[in-house]
Amino acid sequence: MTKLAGSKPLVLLLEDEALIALNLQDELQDAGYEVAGPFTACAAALEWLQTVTPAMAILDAALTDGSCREIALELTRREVPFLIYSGYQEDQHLLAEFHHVTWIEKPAPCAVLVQACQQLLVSGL
Amino acid sequence: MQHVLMGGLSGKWRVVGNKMRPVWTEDDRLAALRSYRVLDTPPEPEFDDLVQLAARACRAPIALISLIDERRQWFKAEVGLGVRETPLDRSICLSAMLQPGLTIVPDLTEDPRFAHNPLVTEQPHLRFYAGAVLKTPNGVPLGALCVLDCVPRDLAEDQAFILQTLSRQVMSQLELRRAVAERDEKLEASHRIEQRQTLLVRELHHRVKNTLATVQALVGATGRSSGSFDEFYRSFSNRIVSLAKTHNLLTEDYWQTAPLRGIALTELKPFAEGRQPRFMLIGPPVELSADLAVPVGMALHELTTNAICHGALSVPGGHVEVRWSVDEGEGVRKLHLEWRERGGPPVGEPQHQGFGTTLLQRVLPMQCKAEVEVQYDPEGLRFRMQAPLIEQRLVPTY
Repeated sequence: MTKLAGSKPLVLLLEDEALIALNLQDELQDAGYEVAGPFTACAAALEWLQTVTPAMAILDAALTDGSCREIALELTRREVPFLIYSGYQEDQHLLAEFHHVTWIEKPAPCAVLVQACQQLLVSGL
Repeated sequence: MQHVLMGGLSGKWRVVGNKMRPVWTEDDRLAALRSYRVLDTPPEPEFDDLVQLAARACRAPIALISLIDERRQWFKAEVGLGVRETPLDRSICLSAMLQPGLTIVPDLTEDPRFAHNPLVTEQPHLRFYAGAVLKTPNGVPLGALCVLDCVPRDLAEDQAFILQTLSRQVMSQLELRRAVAERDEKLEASHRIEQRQTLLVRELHHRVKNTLATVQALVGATGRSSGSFDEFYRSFSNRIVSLAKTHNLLTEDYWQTAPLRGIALTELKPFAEGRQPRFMLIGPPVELSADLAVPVGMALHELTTNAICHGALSVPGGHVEVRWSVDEGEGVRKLHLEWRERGGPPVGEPQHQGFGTTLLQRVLPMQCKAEVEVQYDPEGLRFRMQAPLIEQRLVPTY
């Protein structure tokens, strides 16, 4: 995996399974990202978002306190690109309004996630 | 034709011939009435037709299907009276219901039971009553099909016959109605079960994939802390086995909880067989929901593995004490869990942070909101955690 040059992009990580979150955090850090979180609940992530705007975000669809919808709306409003990493299939109506968003089904190799992050940073989608 | 009222609604026994026979109680009767699910339902043509027929056949201005409820008589169908119910003290059908067959009162003003009834003394000045009891197939009376008139009179034999026949038709309609209602309820229930099953399958699918993602993370984390492939393979396999055992305990229980003692035992059981006890489990019965049982099971697995490799279970004289308790403060039940090793080789700070340490110090706080303390006491490793017990049910109650 190629490392990113220059200052480290800040990635917001929202994932309520601690093992998955911590492993992803390690992988992202290895790939040259700085990780905010991992947050296990939307409320904590929303609070953090009040003061910081990340370069991008990885969101689990369903968190301990509900769906990631509110976070996704806030990120969209601020034009922060994000992807959804979820055990749910994409075609479910869970987050119908974010149909254009990259949706990666669990489990996926970390390399795929890291690559998707790089694409998000470049294209901003 | 009877004109005499026998007893009130509380009568549980009745003399038939010279024998006492048990009959319905008022509670049975009301339960039977409710089972027809007819009270307070809108008018239906099937019943309206029957009262029309009764009125025509008996040449009476008023006809009613009267059902005797706890405190009122309620009319499933009526013609000529203009109300849907009256209080029970005005009910003539209440008396008729307690008579077998047909009750005829040619002049209500001359019958002491009804002479002071406001429906008789005031508008509409009722004078004549004929009612046929409505009885369930078990013989429990529900009310009467009756005709009323404002002049004293009697019924012709044909009319009496028709009124009784129609009363049985009313019961047939009620039976049919009940069968349909029961069928609808069953359909509704099976529809609910179907929906619930779809939801469960979806949830199961989601959980399987989450579990696979957890396993994948476990591969990554184990890989980071293993020096060789053999070490990786052994540690990883053991972690999967431990995870599977916790899930066994969870699925054994309908509520998807696992007993803390059982979780600890699955790890420490191999040390129960020697002559000398190598561990003690001290604490009240506590059920852990999946959110807590899985991380706690993994923590106990890492602690046990560490004790076998480096700690108290690595030498014959060492032993482990696992203590727990639950306390309640500010409406939250908290689990306190302590793992303490004694009699092992002297303990020092670990050289590098392995997966076990990561699990205890990072995963537990994140997953279970646990406060965690690991002490490398020279006498033996000491681990303490306290975490709120998650009371939320994953499974709906039936």
